[in-house]
Amino acid sequence: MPVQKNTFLIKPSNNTTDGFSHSKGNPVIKFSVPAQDLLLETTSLRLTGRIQFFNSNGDLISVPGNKDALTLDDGSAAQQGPVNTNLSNLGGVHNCIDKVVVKSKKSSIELVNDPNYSQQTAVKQGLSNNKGDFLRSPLNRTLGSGNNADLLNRRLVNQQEKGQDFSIKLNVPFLGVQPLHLGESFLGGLMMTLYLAPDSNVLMNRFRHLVNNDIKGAFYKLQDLRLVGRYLVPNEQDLKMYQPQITFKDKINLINDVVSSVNSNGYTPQVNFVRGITHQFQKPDAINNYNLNANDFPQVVGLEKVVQSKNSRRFPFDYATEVTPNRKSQDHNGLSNSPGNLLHMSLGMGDTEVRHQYYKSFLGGRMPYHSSTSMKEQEEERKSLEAVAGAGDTGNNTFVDIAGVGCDYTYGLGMTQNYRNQDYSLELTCGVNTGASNLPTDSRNITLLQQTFINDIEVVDTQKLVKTF
Amino acid sequence: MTEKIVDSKNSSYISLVPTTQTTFTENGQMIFEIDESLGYIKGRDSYLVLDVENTSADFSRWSFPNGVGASSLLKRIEIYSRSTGQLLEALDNYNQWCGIESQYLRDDFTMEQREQGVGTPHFQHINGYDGAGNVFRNQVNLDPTAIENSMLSPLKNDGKTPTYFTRQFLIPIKSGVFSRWWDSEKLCPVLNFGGLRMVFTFAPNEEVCQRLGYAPQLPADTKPNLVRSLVSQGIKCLDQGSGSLDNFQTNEAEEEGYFTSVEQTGLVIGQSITVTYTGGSTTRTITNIETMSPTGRVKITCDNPSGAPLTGDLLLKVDTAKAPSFKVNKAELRVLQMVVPKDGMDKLAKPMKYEYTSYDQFLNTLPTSVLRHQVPIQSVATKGRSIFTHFVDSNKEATQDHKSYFSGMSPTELHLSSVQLFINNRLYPIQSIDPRKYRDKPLMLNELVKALGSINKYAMNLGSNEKGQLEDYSNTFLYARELARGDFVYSLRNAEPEVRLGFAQTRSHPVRCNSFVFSRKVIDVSPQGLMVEL
Repeated sequence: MPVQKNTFLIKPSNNTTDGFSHSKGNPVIKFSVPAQDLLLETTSLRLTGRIQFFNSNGDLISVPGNKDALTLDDGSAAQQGPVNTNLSNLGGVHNCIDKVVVKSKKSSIELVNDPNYSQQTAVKQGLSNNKGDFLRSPLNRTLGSGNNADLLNRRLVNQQEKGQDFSIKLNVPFLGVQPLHLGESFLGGLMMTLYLAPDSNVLMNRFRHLVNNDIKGAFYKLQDLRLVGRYLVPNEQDLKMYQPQITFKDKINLINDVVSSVNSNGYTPQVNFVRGITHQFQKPDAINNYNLNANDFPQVVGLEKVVQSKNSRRFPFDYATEVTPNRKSQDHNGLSNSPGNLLHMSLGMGDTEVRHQYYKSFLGGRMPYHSSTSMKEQEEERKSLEAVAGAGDTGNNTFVDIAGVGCDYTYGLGMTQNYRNQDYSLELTCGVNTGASNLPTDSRNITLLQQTFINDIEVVDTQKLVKTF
Repeated sequence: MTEKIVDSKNSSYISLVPTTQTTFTENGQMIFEIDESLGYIKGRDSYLVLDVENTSADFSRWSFPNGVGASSLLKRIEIYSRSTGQLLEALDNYNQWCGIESQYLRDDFTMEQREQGVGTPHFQHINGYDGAGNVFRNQVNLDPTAIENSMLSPLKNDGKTPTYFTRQFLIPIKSGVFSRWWDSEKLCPVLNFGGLRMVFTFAPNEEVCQRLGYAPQLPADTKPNLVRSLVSQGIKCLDQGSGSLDNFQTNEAEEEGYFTSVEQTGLVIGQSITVTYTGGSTTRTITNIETMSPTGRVKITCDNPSGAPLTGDLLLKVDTAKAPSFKVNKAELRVLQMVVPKDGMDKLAKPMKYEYTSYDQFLNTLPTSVLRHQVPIQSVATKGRSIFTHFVDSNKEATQDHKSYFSGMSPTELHLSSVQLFINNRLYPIQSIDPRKYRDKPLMLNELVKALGSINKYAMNLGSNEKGQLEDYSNTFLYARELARGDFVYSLRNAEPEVRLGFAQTRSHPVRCNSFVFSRKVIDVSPQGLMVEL
């Protein structure tokens, strides 16, 4: 292991004094890491900078004269601007990054192409940190507020003068495995490109149903961006021990729809080493929408049963995973289940085992040790989504759920499945597009967006610059 | 570090159904047969899926005991070799150990609440100060307004009408043989054991079900728990007159505190209650619960079949004669079958020694009047690891609102002023420990952390530190002693260990002392058959 370490600080190659903004120009950030006979210490690599928030008039959103106003939750006219502009809960500043592409400076081959970066990073943060954790590290470094969003989220956006500082470690597995040789015989330097996410996917209305409170047109800017880290100066022995082939865990993002109450989606991922497959579901309008929280991943509406298969055989579960109770269950009096009429609405769906499989699939065979998926948070999220405009309910967007469907192939032992020319299918029996009266009015007549992540193992040869799946 | 790639081939989860019946109630037996053809299984990723329903006769609201969850359903687990009938492991008072252990091993109960219904809060006692600055210690009761506590007994949105569904719970199996819960993550060679026969015995209703009731949970709150009043002492009420005398208002002027919403009462329509009045008592059925305006008091309306007026001070209690009950409507065992490479299968065919950690339980009773007592541990284990002794108030072992079976007694409640382990004619430690608050409580907790460490479990939670909680133990108190650490073991065969107890005062009730002795055991698989070496 090299002893000598040199710190570096790299500014974006396309830096401007106006910073970076999706809607106001300069939506792509490029960092050039030069070729040199040094190793890039990936564990210390961080993106630092400052984030500012502006209203639709281009005015910096700042703390009002009466600071007590920030404590108000009622969204009254006087407090609308400062209180209502909120940053999505999970991931914080990571939400500003839509896609990350990493290339060698020698070649146009993409060594990393992580689309939907913000979503997978948000879920990862939510399944790794609980309410107390968010008050410490994620909040201070990424501005993620997690389950504390209802209390402090608006304070992240409202600022005195210059904005909020942040320091994030990019959630790019290739940049987290081992030191990377930047020499001409290896990577020959790196070109890292970050594509910013739309403002409407980063910011949201705190209160969905307060029409005078609309933040449409609000935007963010990233300023003073720097890639900071350390170079390792290798000696001869270090160079002998250097492994040019890097094996790392990554995810491949696929998008599909759930269109009917018995819905089957299939994939042929063409990947050799699959660790697991996860699916998250959102309403089609949940992304790029100021009126909804982009970090909310509720369970499939009216879910009854999940069957996952490989090559038309139920696998890795040789049974259908059922939801008990589900929308067709009857209570002890023989009355039908109507979650909307329950004191605790989310108790109308018992998706315990489905979630168990999902969490394990996302975390590689482990259950979350700390997480932000409490039942209380889920219930608040459910009630907020059910809130009806004009009924005196504000529709608070700061509560999120993290649910989905998935399967883990690692079994906690690092195992994988071969999906080269082999088929995976997911069959859901649910309430999508049924119009069933015992399902939420906002989601019983719509299709759902299915975001699938194939969790795989990839290999990059840093000498030949070849990537294999 | 680069990732290791291993193709998992056909390893998969399979689902087994009980061989006996499909539904189960208290004290029932549920048997699963695991065929030897499964080869290897990974027990730690295997689990039970139980669909449970609250079937109490008067529709009253119940939950699983806090901090224990659905594991409270299982009183005993026995694991046999399917081919030879040899008993490989027997876990007595399984639910008790699960309830105790889980308090110490987690500092975030989010997943346990969701999957096992452990409820909130997870600790067992609330310690704090009353208005006069005196320390009080209350049992934890289950807040009926919390979603985590309402999984077995959901309500309609009026907060008073029960609508109980069968609900799915997941229970990990904390067994030595099956999941190597207290060891490293290794596979269980079912083939060598000739298959497994797992017998689960369900616990009695009283151990499984805890009554929901309003409880001021904050230690700083000086009001005693209303739920205790509802179960034991009763709440004083005002009658509303108007002829039928069937309406009762909870009286906010009384020292018990008062309800501020319908769901806080923990009562539901159809539930049976007892009303004591001057000259007698009567049992009624609740027909309505509502909040009165503008007082905010909760009014409870009951039927009045006799039409007789009730006079004097009215005292309202839940009808404790209406016992709780649960029903398991569906049970399945999810087993992760591991298909191993051929060389692994070759090893399977050979004789082997399978080592695992498990516990044996020893029961003892502490009489009320003694000031010194020895708890003998009659274990003959040759590879002892640690001893845990749990104290249960026999008078409150399984009361409806709280269960000493899980929560135990603190040294202060026991007046326990000295503990020492006498083993191999020696005393450990040389000076006895006074585990009471303000004395050697940190030392006692340190012993517990070491003892858990010796069974590969790491204490992440020694109780709540919120507000006045540090005044006493908030988790279940255990006397614990590590016998050996690392790869070492301690033979108890001729050691004749005793837990020597000294008391500052006598107690009003007999106390049960349950000792869990953890030891390494070995299943010797040879051509002659299976043998368990203790």
